[in-house]
Amino acid sequence: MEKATISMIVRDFTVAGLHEKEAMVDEIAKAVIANYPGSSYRIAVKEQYRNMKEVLDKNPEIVEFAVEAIRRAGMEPVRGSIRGGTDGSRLSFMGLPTANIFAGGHAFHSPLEWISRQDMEKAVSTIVELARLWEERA
Amino acid sequence: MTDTVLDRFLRYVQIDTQSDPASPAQPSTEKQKTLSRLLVSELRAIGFADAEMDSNGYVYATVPANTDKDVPVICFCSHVDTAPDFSGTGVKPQIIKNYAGGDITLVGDKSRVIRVSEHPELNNQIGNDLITTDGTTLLGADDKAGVAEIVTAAEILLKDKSIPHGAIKLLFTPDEEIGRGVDKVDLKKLGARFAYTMDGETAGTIEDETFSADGLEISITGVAMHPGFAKGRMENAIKIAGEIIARLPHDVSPRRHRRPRGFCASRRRDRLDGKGNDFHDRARFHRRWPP
Ligand SMILES: [Zn+2]
Repeated sequence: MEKATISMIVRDFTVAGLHEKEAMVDEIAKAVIANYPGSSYRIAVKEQYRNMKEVLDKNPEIVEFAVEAIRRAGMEPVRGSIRGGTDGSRLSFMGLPTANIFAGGHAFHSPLEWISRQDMEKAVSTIVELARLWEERA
Repeated sequence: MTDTVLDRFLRYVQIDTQSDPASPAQPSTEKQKTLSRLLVSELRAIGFADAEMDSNGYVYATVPANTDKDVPVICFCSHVDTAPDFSGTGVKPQIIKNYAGGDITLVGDKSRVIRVSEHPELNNQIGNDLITTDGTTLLGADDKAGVAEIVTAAEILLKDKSIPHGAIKLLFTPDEEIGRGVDKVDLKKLGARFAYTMDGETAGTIEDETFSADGLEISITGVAMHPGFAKGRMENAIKIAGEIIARLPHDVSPRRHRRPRGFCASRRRDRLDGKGNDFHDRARFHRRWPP
């Protein structure tokens, strides 16, 4: 038998968007195969990970308090997204809603990696303020 | 004399804790436990009586509540391993006090330069004390910065009676960089309602969103050339696959890496506008997420 496999990954912030992309890949494969009457294809989809925002939005105080703690620690909070899976997203779907806060490092995984003492100290203050906030608002 | 976050950080980065995606062991490398064990002994010395490492290499500890209020138990988590992408053996942290700006040439390998043009965040660090490598290893700020920050904050919360707080759980995981960081975590034992990983980059950022992703595998069955078949009957599956790939938009195209890689690398944030379908950063993504 003559066989080949293509492995790929599709990403989107929403599950609906993922399904759109998957349908598009299927359309493309179908169109190509149409020119080869003796050949066939099959697509297997395997869930890799899901946007943790689905979980975190059910408990908005997780992020609200973090934003406030960052402010109290003297910084302007910046909300962001992570490309790829993280422990936080997996924990969120395992039942422990988890957001990710800065640790201060830069250029991860390379010899050019660096960090400042001051940013680590700001992270320490953020943790302390966050602990205080959860008590304050309880 | 209490250790500062910097003291702790410098101590932790000198312990090699590289994880290994090819290893089936738990944790993937035994050396990660060297740091985990040190953390347990430091936490016990500070006064965290329940600090322990379980048989899977996870460290758990509790900062007891000092309030009568019913506060949800929250957890702070970071990972002890460093990425397989670059050596973590013999890290020699370099401290640049009172950074004056400008490019930083690393002393152990002068070909390696942290350039302001490539690291514009350096512009926000004038006057700060920077920690770099000597150029021959990674630093491991990912995520020993998070570890040092959590331990330091926990000590403050334990000792400073003026800060009221509920019970706080500490969790230090192995093997995050190879995508196995929470495989063996015991959430029941942890007993937290909500958690924060201290594993992001730039000061001030909070991340609550990731992509969703699916792996797709297209299997193509073509027609092999058999004796007796006309040449025109042959349908080469590889050629068909090539045609499909050529038609895919660049945001969904085949992975090059078959080997699992860490997925913490070059983690980037986007300001999310609308649906935020920004997928141009394919190469980085592939490096990060294992098949
Ligand atoms: Zn990390």
